Amino acid sequence: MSGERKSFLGLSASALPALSRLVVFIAIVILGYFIDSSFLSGRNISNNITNASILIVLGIGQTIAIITNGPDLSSGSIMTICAVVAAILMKNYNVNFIVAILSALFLGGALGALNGYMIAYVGIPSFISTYGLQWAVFGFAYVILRGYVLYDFGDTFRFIGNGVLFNFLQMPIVIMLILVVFGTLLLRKTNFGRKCYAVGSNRTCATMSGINSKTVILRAFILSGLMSAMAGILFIARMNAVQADIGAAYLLPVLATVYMGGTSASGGEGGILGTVVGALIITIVTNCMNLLAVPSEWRDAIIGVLIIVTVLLDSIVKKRIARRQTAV
Amino acid sequence: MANEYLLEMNHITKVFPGVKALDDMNFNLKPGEVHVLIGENGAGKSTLMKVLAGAHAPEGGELFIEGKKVTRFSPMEAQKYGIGIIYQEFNLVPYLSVAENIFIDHMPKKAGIYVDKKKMHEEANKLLGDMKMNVDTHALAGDIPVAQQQMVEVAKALTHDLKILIMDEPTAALSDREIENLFGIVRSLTEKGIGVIYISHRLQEIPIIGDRVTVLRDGKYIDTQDVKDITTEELVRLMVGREIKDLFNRERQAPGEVVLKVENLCSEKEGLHDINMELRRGEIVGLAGLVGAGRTELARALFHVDPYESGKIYLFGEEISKNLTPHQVIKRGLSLLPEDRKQQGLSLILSIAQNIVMASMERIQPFGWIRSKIEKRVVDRYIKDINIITPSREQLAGNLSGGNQQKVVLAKWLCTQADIIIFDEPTRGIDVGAKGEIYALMNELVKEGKAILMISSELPEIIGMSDRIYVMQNRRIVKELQSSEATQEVIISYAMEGAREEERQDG
Amino acid sequence: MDRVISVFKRIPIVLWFVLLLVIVFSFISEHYLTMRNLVILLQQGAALLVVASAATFVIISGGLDLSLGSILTLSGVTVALSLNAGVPIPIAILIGAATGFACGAINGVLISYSGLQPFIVTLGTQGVFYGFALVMTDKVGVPVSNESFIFLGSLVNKIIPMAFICCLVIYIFAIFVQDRTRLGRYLYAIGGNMEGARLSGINTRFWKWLVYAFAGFLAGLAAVVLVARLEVADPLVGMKWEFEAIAATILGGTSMNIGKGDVKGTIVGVALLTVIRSGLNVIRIPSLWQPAIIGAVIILAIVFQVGITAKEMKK
Repeated sequence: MSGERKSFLGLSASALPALSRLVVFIAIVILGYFIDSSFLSGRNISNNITNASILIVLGIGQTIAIITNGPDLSSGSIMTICAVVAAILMKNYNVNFIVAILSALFLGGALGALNGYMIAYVGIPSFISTYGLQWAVFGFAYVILRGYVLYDFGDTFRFIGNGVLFNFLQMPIVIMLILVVFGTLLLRKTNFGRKCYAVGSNRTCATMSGINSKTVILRAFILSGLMSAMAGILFIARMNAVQADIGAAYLLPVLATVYMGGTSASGGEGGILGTVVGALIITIVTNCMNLLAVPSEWRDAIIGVLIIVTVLLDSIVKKRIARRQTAV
Repeated sequence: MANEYLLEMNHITKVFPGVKALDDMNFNLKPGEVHVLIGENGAGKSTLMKVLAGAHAPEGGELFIEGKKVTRFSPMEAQKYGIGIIYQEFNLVPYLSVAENIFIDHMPKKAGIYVDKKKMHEEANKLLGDMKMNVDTHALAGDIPVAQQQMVEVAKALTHDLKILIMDEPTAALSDREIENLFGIVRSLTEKGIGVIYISHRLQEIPIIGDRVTVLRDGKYIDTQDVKDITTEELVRLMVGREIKDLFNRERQAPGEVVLKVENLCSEKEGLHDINMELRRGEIVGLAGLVGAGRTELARALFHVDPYESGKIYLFGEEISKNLTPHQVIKRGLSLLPEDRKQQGLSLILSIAQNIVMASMERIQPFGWIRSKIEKRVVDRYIKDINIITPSREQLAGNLSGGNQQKVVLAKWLCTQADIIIFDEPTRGIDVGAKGEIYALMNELVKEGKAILMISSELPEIIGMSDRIYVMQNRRIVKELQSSEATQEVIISYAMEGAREEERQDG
Repeated sequence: MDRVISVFKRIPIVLWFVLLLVIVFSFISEHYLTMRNLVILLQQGAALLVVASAATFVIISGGLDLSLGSILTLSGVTVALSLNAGVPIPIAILIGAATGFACGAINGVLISYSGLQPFIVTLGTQGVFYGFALVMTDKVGVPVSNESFIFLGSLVNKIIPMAFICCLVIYIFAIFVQDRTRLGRYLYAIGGNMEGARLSGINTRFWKWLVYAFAGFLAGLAAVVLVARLEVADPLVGMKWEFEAIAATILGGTSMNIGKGDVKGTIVGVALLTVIRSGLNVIRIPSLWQPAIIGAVIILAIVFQVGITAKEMKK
């Protein structure tokens, strides 16, 4: 009898924190409904998820990076410069949009590789390295655009950001779902994903178990770069415009999304599904703040409090579980 | 209320996730006595003392100091009661000076605000001088040799107003002269009426320093005797619960082909010098030596975790390049269970299942896609074969006991279908029951034709398990012994510098 | 003397970087190596010196504080608002320092007593502190006109860098705290062997809390000088300072996560960052390019510094 009870707790040891997140999520949804009864309408939900899509795509890359090693603070800047490059190719050089997308992805991957190289092979702590890169990359984005705003891209391209499939599925959501599935499968069902968790939880052990930790970290950051590029493409496809700072507003929310989603800052723990929940929480909270016309100066503060509350709840839940497990 | 005892611990119980470390434990201490506490690894000695020192709070039982009941457990409370403890794992701060470490919790202050460095160093020097130690008080604690670190810990304890001093394996890293020194300090303490609790694995020290001795086994209290009333053999029997000979149960056999051959290996990084050795199928070869002799370094070089400059290594007759990665070495059938299993052998926050497959992923699922059913089957098989005790394969590795953790590490390497297994301190920190299981497993493995290289600091273990023994001293292999000629004295004489007649004559 | 030598041994590379850049810049522009320019540089780097010291303290103890920039902003705002409300200068300064201390104390409670991870906590509190600053100022800068106060940060007679002098005093105070007080010594204990320190009888939770509170306090002092120099409490200033502070700390030779480091090296890191920024103006690089180049140079410098430290550790 006690054996059964133990295993129930043992299995949900990882599920319970996720539960606490879902509780927060549901609480906020209820709050939203109280504020405005159209909150739960199909259109509003669809809008919210669409808005969350870019955050989620960025979050996928960030989750992989954080699980494996540490945060990728350059993701906003990579998103920007890939978007800028794609935009310029399409507008100024009349390049086919598929080629533009591929070029953007290539650039994102290359910058991610640069990050990964410096972190894994040179040994710079990830957030100094990515932060420095961010500065440089944003700088180059400014240089390239020279303060201009590019807009009005081709219709086929814009379908990616604004089109609707089957009369109700917004394209960004479709793309986001594909990437979420891809990311989740990658982390849960491939050797590479396993290695990410291994390297992130104990790099020494991973290396001594024959895993090439440096390659794993390199690949993780390449993936993050690719995701950032994807996010950039989604952005300009939807907004139909690009300027040199589109990624700047995403840095804090993306990190918040991932950490609220349950991914641990020390690596080796977490997952994309949690990140999705985190992104939805932030998007819905933003929606609520819009509905309540909360002035912009309060917004960062509210998100900050949200992060702390979620993580605090998490820690309390984990301590309770640990205490119960002790009563062997 | 006059009380004969300085300390009384009654019915103490302490539980950690997955293991009951102390079960209804009783212990007492008289003023001015040296009470030795012995037992195998995992018997509960360190845990009991940690409860006394306030590092852990017990789940059950009572604690009385000089007749007063203790209600709150914390290191600071313990200090108030006059309890000092010198832990086995040093608690020194690496980048602070020796003097600062000694006075770490009560640095002398000037004007009540800032630290009086001059006074601190003066007093530290005086204290170390009284202990007949020559240590630079300005040196960083992380830079001084281990033996000196030990004495710094002793000095740290002595700066407090002590009623009870606990010493956990204090002589592990000390030379004979330093041990004598330490005993002198202990005696001066007992003369003042301070009670000393002395934990040690070195049974030969008990008659020299101890007044009474208590034996623990598997978290339970076994017996207490006056030292003069009991012999070493009886103590061992109480510790182990059965004859030592039973524990190892080696079925020796004729060895097969040479699977590992090392010629003239030299490593600059680790200082390894001219290593020559070989390993054959079906045998267990022990690697003995003192701490720092270079055994772990040799293992790491063999496993290609650390580089080596010259020399040749042959695996299964084929010379392997010094540039191979651990991954490639593993593919060829070599594996290493590291000394520090928590930091290097396992990932504590991953599940047992994930740990077991960590080194074999390419082998089990060559296309990169994880096949859960196959994996689960493999993992379950190892859990069963090696008898890893866990409610589920998803249990976090960090929640297991030391013995089970070691089994998981072993499972990981067996999963790679390794033919040569290097064990670095295989049974350190493991209770006797699990030890026996691991020895039995090692026996099975070599019967199947595998080869084992075993590094161990426990002489009975090395002598009991090995077919041959290489003794290392100062980064070289100085002697190869057959199991028939191996005794503790012989091994130690080769392991220690200057212990042999010939060496001393060479000067 | 030994101390001085060992500090020198640890920071030569970055120092040479600084000197190299200074020489290069002075070749390009004859105005660079003038007293006048030098003094301006000192003024510019002053506040960063103090904030970086705060970051150094936190990093030595094995932690991280991403909210230092927002604490700087918020403290500046409280000082400015107090001054404008007629509060006497010493009280206003106290208010600013207290604001910083309070913010740091909040961080400390969440990190030390609740056991949450510093990165996440300070990510959250950064938003909160910053939000407060924005609300209190209605997103607009708060100008300060109190002459005596402004004096503290001004360039007197175009030659005496008051801001730098004040910050230098605070910096020396920070060095004193690090070397001579329990708080400073315990930084190394918490960062190098926290469990060992706890078992040795130190109330590590309290001291860890105090580290963050003290860092906030320093940021508050820096805000006072900054507001005096700029003559305004601008809520946009202070953003991203925490990263520069961390970069300066690492450039100054402090390592993350191992309880090793020295705030005396941080001044070199600050010097490098200030020189880089200033120099780009001098050689007339269009402001468009500046962030890019600054980022690249910082990365290069850190690569060097980390590489050297790693080689030393391997020995």
